[in-house]
Amino acid sequence: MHIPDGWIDLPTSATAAVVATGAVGVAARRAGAALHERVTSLPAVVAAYLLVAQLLVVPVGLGTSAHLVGTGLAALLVGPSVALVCVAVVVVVQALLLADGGVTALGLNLVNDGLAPALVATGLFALARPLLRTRRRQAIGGGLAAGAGSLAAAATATLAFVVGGTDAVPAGTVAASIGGAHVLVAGLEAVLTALVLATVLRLRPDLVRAVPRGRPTPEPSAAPRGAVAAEPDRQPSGRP
Amino acid sequence: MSASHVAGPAPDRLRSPLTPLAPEAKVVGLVAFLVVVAVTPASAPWALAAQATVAAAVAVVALVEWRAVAGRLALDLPLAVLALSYAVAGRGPYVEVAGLALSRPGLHAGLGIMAKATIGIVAVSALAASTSVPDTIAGLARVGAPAWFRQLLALSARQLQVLRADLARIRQAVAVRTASPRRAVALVAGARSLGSLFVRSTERADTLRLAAELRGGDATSPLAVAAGAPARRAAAAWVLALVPAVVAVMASVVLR
Repeated sequence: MHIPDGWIDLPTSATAAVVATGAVGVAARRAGAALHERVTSLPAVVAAYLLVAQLLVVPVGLGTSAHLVGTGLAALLVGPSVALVCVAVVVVVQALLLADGGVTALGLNLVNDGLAPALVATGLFALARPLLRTRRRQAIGGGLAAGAGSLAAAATATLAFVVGGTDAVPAGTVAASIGGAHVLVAGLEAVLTALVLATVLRLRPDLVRAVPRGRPTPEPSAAPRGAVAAEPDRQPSGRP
Repeated sequence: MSASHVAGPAPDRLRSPLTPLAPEAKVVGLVAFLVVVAVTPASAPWALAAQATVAAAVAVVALVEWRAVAGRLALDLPLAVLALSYAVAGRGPYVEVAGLALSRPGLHAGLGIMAKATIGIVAVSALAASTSVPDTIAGLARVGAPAWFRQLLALSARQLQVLRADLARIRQAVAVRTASPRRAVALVAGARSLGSLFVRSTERADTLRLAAELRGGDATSPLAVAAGAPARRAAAAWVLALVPAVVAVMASVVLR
């Protein structure tokens, strides 16, 4: 659910836009340094991947449906910098081409859907890394981290409302409604992220950037971060 | 995979009077219009109504497909719930509507948000209907979006079509193997498809980079959308594109 035009006043939106522009600039520079020549092709494909992933809608009752937002997942898969750049593309495409999310709220949506969940998800996952030794635990831990990232998005949305929303409604009520809705969204995000991560870890564990590599890979940025015992590399079974 | 994915004439886009206008003018005009709408207070319903009329008129001129707009307006449904919750939970003074004591400022705020979001959806639809994706990207480039961002947008827009088809194939394969009417199984199957799609996508990214290197140059150059020369009659385009914003300003001043 993106913030539409008119929900937050213009000064707050403009501030968020400045923050978002700066963050994406820094992220782009860091992503470029981390990816070398893959700077355009990988983020572009991941951005397209996020847009496609959001088509997997899950009915949650009352005629509404929820879908994977995917920022936490992307941050775990390709790192927070690349993920933020990808979310910037996604948010612009959705606002200008698909009319999903406000044009004046672009910066807010980027902070909410990009910055907050990407940082929280990767931060929590990095903190919990010593506990995550098996692939099963890594998938579940990644799911929980992405769910927490989704809650962080709810927190920044609430903050935006407290600063720049209408004063006609008590902020506590709005916080409660946003939080309540996001508990559901975060639960779904956690489950879906864990399932997707489990699949990627089974097929190509070297593609998950948040997980320390157990074996050397050709990518220069993939220097082994610690002496974590390599899991026996299970061959992918016939199923995708 | 050729450039025609993006560069070709979009078959589903009608040629409207707005199509030949310079895209950068259209983008700036849209943003200016929406900024004016955003600062119009919700306590001025007639101003918002006038702005909605402007958006609808532009959409008509742009030969918007109203069925697509209706689909996008489904995004308004959660906002209707939001507006209702504002009306129920808002501060006083209260008005009696159909036996319910509703907060007047809450009602105003909620309806205002709904109106502004609707205006936004209609206005963006007008841009989307009259401007092809590469034109929109070129327009963004001419108003100062950095080159890397423009290239990313162009490549993403193209990859979106490829990945969508890829996902459909994967999902079909997974569905055939895990056919079950149970929702949980379908959810797992869907997530598994997405995981598989990610692996394929990164492999595609490597292929793209390799192809770009083979064609010479770095990974970005062949994919760049040329900012190109500004469209003809650019001055007229700017004037025309800013008309909705100007009318919106007048509406918000006069009808306050």
